[in-house]
Amino acid sequence: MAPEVRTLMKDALAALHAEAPAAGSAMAVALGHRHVRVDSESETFLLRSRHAKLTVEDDPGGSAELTVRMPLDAVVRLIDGAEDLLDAVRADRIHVQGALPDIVALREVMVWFVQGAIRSSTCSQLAERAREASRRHPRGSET
Amino acid sequence: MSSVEPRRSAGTAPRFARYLAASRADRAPGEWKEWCHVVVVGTTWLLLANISRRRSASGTAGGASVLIWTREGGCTGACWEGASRRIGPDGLATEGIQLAPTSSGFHLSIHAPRAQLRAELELRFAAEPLVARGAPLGSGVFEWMALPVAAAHGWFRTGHGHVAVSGAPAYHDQNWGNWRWGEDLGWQWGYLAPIAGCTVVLSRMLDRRRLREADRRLLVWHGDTLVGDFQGPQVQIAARGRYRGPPAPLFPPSLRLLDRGGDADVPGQITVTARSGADALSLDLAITGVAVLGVPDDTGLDVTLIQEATCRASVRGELAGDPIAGETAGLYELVHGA
Repeated sequence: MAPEVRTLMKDALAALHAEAPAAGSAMAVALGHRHVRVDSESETFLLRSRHAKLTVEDDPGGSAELTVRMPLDAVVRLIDGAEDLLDAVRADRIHVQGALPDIVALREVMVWFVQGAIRSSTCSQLAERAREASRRHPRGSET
Repeated sequence: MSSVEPRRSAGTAPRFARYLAASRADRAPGEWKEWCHVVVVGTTWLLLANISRRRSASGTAGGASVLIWTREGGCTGACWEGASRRIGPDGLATEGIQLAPTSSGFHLSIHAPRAQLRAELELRFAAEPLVARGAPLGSGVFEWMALPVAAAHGWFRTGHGHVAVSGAPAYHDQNWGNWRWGEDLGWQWGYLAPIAGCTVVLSRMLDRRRLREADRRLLVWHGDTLVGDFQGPQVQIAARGRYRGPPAPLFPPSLRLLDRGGDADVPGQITVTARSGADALSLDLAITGVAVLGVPDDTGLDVTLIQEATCRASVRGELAGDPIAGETAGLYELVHGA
């Protein structure tokens, strides 16, 4: 199967850097030197900041300051306002692991991501793609 | 607001179209915004549609939202961000919503399958437009054209059922100019469906902190005739309490991730009294529901929140020797900073 989540993330970041560059830069600054390992629907990849942009890269398997496990249906529920992030974390539908300052930084990245996404017409199309992809994955497949 | 020009002669739609076409012909280059609003009020429901178009250095884009409050389902809504297109001189369309001019007004189509919303409504206008030219708003200029006396015919459907609409009171306005979201600006605006034949519109232009007021106005139409125009100190507005109903839904829903607090910043009750000579009007508004629309700021990476509140209103007073008294429903919109 093609790496759907990784492709969605890559496309979303590309759209955001192109259509809302201030939000893209703010995300990169907030993430700083940290590496985020993302684990979703049997895909694993790294998010990191390079040249003032967030990039999606292969995970070489080394250490990462943050690990996020997020099934696509949980992400879609957040995008659609069906669930609060805190509730999703409490219920272990989204799992975030890292030191507190790194988690705080990741939250800031998410805030700039949302601010960028609402300024990007491409991101609203990508949200529809994410909904379609989520329907193809059985719920809670990673928990 | 610098000036208000009611136009009272017959033949609303063609004159309205000519006015807007002429108004937009001389618009300045650079940043530009247009917003179209439609409010339709039923006995147990209220529909609000917004369609916008904006031009900036990065090109032209549009947005739209629809909110429908019903007794059975509370508030259901949808919003879109993307391309927009003009339909004739006055119409706009984006994905999901189309407002197309007709010989007597507009046809509003709404198609939001994910939110289970559909609507097909004809809006027929009975009065000439009221125009406010060139009011300052932040560092920009804001022009406002309102058609408050209209009737809607057609139907809408939500996930809770189908509703036939026959002659429901409706309001339409269009705003255009070059104001910038995020600047030191705010407003309150209200529309009350006709009571004893009288339609009421209230507007206040404010700063974000609601400490400075540039304009305050209460307008009353009886049928298609503007019979009341109360301004400035003739209008007193008092807010009491805080709306404590169900959490306000946010649009776009992803704004919940910003975690700006779950409560809407809307008063529970608003009292408006207006007096000019022998004319007097008193409105008691009780807020019954709230939804919040987020608009990306032009000035930075934040959002301006437009709080849309449904209300029940008790109205009493006397205009031109005719008493007015009764209950009605409407919409109160608040834009302000934290």
